[in-house]
Amino acid sequence: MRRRQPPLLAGVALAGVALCASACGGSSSGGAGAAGSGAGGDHLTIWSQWLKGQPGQQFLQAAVDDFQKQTGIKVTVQWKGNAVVKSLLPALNSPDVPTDVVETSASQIQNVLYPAGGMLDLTSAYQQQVPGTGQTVAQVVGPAATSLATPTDAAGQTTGGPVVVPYWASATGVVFYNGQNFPALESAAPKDWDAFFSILDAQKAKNRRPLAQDGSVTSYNAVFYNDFLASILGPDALNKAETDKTGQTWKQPGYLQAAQLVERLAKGGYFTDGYDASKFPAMENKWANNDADFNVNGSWLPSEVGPVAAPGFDYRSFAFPAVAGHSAPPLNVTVSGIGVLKSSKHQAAAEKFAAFLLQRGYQEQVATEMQNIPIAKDVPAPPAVQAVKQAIDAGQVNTVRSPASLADYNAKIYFGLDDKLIFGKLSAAQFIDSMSSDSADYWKSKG
Amino acid sequence: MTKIKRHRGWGHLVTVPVAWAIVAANVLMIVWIVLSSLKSTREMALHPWSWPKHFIWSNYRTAWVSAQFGAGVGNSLLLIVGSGLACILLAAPAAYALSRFRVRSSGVHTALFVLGLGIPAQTMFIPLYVAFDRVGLVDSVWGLMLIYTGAGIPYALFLLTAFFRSLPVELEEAAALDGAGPGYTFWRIMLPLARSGLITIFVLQAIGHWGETFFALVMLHTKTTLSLSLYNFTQTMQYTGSRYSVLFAGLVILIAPLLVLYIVLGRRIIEGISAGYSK
Amino acid sequence: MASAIVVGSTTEDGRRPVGPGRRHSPFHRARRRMFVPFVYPALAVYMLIMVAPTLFTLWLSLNRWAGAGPMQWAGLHNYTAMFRDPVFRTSFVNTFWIVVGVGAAVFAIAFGMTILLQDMAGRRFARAVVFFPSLVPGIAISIMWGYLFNPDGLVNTLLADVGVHSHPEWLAQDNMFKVILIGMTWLSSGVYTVIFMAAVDRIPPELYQAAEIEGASAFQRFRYVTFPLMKDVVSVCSVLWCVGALKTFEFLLVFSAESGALPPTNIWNFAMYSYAEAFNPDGTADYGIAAACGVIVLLLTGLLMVLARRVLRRDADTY
Repeated sequence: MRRRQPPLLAGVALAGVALCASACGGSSSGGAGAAGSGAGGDHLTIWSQWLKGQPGQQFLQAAVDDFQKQTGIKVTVQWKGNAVVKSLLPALNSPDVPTDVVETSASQIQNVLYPAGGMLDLTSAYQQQVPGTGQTVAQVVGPAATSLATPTDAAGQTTGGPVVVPYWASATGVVFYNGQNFPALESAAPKDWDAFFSILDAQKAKNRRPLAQDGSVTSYNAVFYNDFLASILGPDALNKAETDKTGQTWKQPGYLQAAQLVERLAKGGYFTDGYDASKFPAMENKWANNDADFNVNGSWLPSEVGPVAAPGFDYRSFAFPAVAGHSAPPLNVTVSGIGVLKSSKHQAAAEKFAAFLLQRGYQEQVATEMQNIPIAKDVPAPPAVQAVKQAIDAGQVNTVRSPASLADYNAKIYFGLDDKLIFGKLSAAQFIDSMSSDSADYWKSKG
Repeated sequence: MTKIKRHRGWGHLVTVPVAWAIVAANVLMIVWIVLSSLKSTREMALHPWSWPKHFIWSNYRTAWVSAQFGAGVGNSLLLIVGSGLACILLAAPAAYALSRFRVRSSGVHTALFVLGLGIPAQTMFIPLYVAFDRVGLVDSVWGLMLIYTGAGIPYALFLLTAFFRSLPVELEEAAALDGAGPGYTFWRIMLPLARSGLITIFVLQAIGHWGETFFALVMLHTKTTLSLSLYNFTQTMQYTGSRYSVLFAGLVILIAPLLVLYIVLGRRIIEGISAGYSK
Repeated sequence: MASAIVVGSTTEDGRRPVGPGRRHSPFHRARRRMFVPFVYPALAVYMLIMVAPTLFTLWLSLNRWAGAGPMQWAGLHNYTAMFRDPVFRTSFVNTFWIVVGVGAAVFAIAFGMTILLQDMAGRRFARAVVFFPSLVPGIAISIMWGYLFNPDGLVNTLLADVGVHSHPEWLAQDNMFKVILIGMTWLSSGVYTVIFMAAVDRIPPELYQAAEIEGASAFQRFRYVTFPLMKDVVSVCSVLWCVGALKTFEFLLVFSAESGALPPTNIWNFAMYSYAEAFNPDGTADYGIAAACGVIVLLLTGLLMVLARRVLRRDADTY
């Protein structure tokens, strides 16, 4: 009975079809982009990070409606949510990419879609006039945000023009407090950590654990070491140590000093009880109910804890203070906005829409309707994060990013050891030793 | 059930309460989910274990309308019914032939199918997307249905081969003596006998696919399913606030049909399971 | 040559006609002609949806790829890099704990519940209820887990009420994986309890009567009547458990991290490792390594297949 061989053969044949299909898709995805004329009759498709009912969606929908009325360009928006990039990536292999525009964070676009060859260089879009402002897109967005919208390689060098026209920003490393409890801080935020420590010590003296920290979120934990180090040695110090294949950079004194500050917080009883053994968002919810005084978090915190917070909670914030004797760490900012697909046949219309969102009226709505930080320089942010907005406007923005190529390192080496440091399981010296030796091992294993 | 009075050791006095404690924990979990869906988010966060002060039924309306749980129900129903039936129609004849026809290559074929139980979704979605895109099955409920069908075949086949093996061989031989061909024997005699097994497969697949999000996320662009809406809703809480109570209302909407299905078909499922697993 | 008699096999085996004469009867010839029309529609769909993408995955594991755009040949580099990665070794150990550790606990509990509920009043109700947890999506369990095990959660409150004040920090990183294993055990044991109870229902009561007359204890009844007659069910279930447990993934993700982030590496298993390489929120997708890890999972499944074949072989015409 020899003729029963077909299953294997059929399998191989089918696999061949699939292989060819995807390989062909991969190579042809870049080619389709003939720029549209941008005139009426265009039909623009946008995939958005917002979902129906969110403030961001309501803002964007209103802007889209106005845009259609004023330009005659028809716009269809798919509200995809945070998973927008995840669901777009496989579609880049298609000769018929299902959208012209992806509206999401610049880092997602740069880390995932740009390396896959999907994004259009928007240098020319930055030269457009923004209607009613007398400024170009480049001027409204400003150099810092432009830099954050521009892809860089593993060494931090730009690899082309910007691929996103951002219309709003968020920041991490922001210290939040209840304005009702600390009215004096609004006009006089602590100038450095010495001043902040004395505020914290005063609270501790009242038998409080002043700092709320959701230790289950590793990236929130890393903010402390990142910013201490950025203040002491500058914002590129972390990348420098992480990419050192020998691990020796970690032994330089500034790295230990930053670790000692984290150790002081961990062992000094500043963090809320159970910060190392609870599940997000337990600790920030405690803070929102005045069980703790400060929470180092992101600019989205007020809307996140809003439904849970004590009535009348007055959200106020200041940027992560400097280490005494050093300058303040620049703010870690993420910008979000419009990216255009290389394959789009309506690129001119897409760029026009990107500039459209930068008009003053819409930028004001970003603050008032979306409760987020507008990208345009002179437009005020919501009161809770106005202090952050001022720092951004003053150019105190960290333009050194952790390159996508270090994400694996961070997940496997840095975040794990940093967690142990902030939970008090490692001393500062042990942390440095482990970072140094584990880094060397990691790079050796990568060959 | 047997009516003999069995010998009971004193151990029963200790162990039976343990069994009931486990049962009680499960009941309490369902009650807790329902109660949580009726609180305000603030009350739920601060007093997760208390009785709701006020029953906030509007959480359900919010979940249904603004979180778009309503929009996905039709697609979800179509998907599970369609893929469940298709999977059974494909797997049942194959399982029958593999378990009863005594063809030499049966073992290899069966092994090939069963190996499919181990294929993880994260490694196959890109080629699937590309292939489906070529033939216009992206952003199509039918395309997703085809994936669910194909992905369900190994499991259905694995259980159904065992099930068919347990049926008595005399029936087929009698049918053959009466002149019935294998097709007739299968569709008219064996398949009806396997009914409880088929229902079991259908329900187990339905439970699995009702909550599936990964392929739905990748393959659907403009459409949604119930579980995809729920997934999206949990993803957005960072910017709109952690509306846990609305989330739980959505969860109840998601779980309730399964619970009803299980309660209505429960006896049959259990019959099917017992026959299917014990060959 | 399949062994004709296997310990614990049911009586159907004895009834099955064996011997060369029967194989070549017109009845069997007609059936063999129908083999292809019966099996190949399912095989075609299965090949298309499952096998073809998997072969692509094999190819992918030898390349470097961001999910679209150009592919870079990498040979076996993805595999060597992975085997040198300490996190991969952690993932292996954790995968082992889930498959074997949780598996053992699940089967022990399912057996225990089966014995306990065997002649208890209300067993039908109990049987329906123990199945519930498998219907509840992980996200609900995950949120409830927080309210249970947070420092001021229900568990600690109850413990304090009965005077216990020294307890582990349930959700600390060192304990997190153990607490997750407990959660998995609880969620999975219900399904197997239902299956085992169903199998016990099929055991003829006369056997218990006989055991009764012999004066067997509850444990002895289980040891000498129930267990031998459940052997088939247990072996089928254990195969299903292993292949399912190898792929455990969403449960780890929703339990341990906030949405969009990755959990700490000390709770990763193979499926999470693969996911992290493809979906690290701060990084560029590396589908080559994700695929290589997928291939490892598939190989492990293949190993388990040996077990599956032992279960299936008895009746398939292998030789």
